[in-house]
Amino acid sequence: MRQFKKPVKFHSISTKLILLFSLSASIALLLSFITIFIYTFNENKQNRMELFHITAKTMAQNLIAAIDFDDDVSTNKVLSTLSLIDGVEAAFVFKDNGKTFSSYLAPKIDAKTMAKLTKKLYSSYDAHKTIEYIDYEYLIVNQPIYLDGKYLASFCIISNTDYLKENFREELFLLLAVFVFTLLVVITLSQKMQKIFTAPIFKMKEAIEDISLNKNFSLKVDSNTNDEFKILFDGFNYMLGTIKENTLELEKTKQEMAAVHKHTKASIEYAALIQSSLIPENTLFRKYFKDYFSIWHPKDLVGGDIYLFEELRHDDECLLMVIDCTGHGVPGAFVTMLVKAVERQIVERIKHSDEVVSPAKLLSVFNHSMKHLLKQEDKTSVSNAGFDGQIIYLNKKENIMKFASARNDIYYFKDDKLHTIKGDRQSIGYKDSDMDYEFTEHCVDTSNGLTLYALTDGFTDQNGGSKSLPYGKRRLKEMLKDIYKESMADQQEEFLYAFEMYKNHDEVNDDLTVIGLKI
Amino acid sequence: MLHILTVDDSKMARKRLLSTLDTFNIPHKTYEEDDGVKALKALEDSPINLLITDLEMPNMDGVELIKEVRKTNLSLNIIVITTVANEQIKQLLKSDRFTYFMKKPIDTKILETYLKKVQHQIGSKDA
Repeated sequence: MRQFKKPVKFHSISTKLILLFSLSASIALLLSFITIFIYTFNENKQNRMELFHITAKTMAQNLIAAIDFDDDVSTNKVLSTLSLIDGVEAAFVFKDNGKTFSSYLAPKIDAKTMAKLTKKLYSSYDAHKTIEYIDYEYLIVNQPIYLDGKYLASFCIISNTDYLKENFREELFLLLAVFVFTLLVVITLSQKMQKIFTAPIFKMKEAIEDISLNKNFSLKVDSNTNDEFKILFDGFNYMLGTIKENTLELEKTKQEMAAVHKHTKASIEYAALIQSSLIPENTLFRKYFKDYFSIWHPKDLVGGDIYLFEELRHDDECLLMVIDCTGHGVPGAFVTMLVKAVERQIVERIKHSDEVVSPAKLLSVFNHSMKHLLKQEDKTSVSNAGFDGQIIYLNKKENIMKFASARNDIYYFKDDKLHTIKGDRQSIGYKDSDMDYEFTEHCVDTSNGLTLYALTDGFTDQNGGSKSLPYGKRRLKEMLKDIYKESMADQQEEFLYAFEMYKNHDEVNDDLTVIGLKI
Repeated sequence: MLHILTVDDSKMARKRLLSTLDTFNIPHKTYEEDDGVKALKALEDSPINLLITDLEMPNMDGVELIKEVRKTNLSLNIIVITTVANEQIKQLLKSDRFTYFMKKPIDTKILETYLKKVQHQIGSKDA
């Protein structure tokens, strides 16, 4: 029984939805937090810068008098108040000649490093202007001091960035904590929310599995929602109903067909039994021929090929007919029955007369009778059935063999030479067949013996070989030349072997009949 | 081991059948005769457990041979290989569950399957 199987790399739709929700939320959160973080950090930096800027401005006002009077003691005193501000590492007052007038250095701070830093700053910026500088290590504010519009000095405060860094770390930690917490909440919510979408899908999946396993087409899938899933479920239920109806109908039809098939098969099998009863006992051939073989293989159970053998007025006289009726299968078999009926009439007439048996005339009689019986005397007839075939008459007493043929050829070897009697281009009984046609009669002396073959076109027309072409008459003649001296049993084997080998994987085209006789 | 007697008046047919049997991976010994009378004698003289026979043969044909065999041995496995697609003969042999009918030319796959079945059946009997 067919079942749904999970593919090797199976990823549940639930997992995919949780991942989708979580990933979307994570990206949104991350972007938000980065924005908040950057904004807050910049705000802190600006505030810090603003603090130092105001401090520098205020202190610069307080220092004007002291600088103007070269009172470095007072200046130093004012600068020392910077120790109260967290993070200030140094402060300098540079006179207009560029020399350091006064300075403040926090404990453990190297004065040279600070001086270098200040010089570097002044090489890049104009000391006469307000400067705000920040890098990873330092925050520097420079405030020029003017007295009555004249430049007097520059006051520079240098602070480390520890405060900002600490602030940065705290904020980062806080944001990360919030981020992780929010993510956990999102994942938990995703697990719950995905069920809104996946629950109906899983419900549908279970229903499909149940249907596939148990063929339970009466199943209904209910939806508690009023969304697209409801439309989907309603459509599915409707489809199930239709499948159930169709399945029942199909099952009923199947049963009916099985019954019809059984009946038809039994009929055809019985018909095959009847048709095979028309095939003569091969022991009959023994009386007239040194050796013989026969192959009669209808393509289906019944066929349109038949061969008939009749003993005539005495033990030296017999008649063989190899007949290939219209088509094959049941229609062909029907025609063979008709042929047999006509043949019985002809044989009975011969048996009760002294007439000289003429295969050519017999073919003409068949032509008239078949046309008459099938109502095919004019071209407006609905049916168009008939046959091609050979009639062979043997008179052992007179050592003669007579042949006549409608379409199919006759082959015989006499004095080691192959002779071909070409069949007349005229079929028997068809509505196009000429009612008054006179068939050609051939007569052969059999006193020195001969080997004869009569076959239907099932052999030469069989497709096969590398190009799926018909076996053909040329190939047949070559084979006959190779085998005609063998025993008929071996020749039969060769015919069948050649047919099978040539056909290979091709379908059998037609019924097959081959008769081989040795006199 | 299978002891197979092939009966066919065609030497060529026997030769081809024996070659086919040799292609199967089934241990076997073969005996061959060209008519029913000789086949009956071979059946008396040798431990044959499978008879493969043609129907059309001189002296004694396949149908007569089978009838004679069945008088004394109802369970000998017989394969009838013939060109005569005669429904009457098929009907005649239909009731015999140890007789199998094959049309010439033989389908080697079907023949191999049948031989394996017979081999299994004989193996079970020996065991």
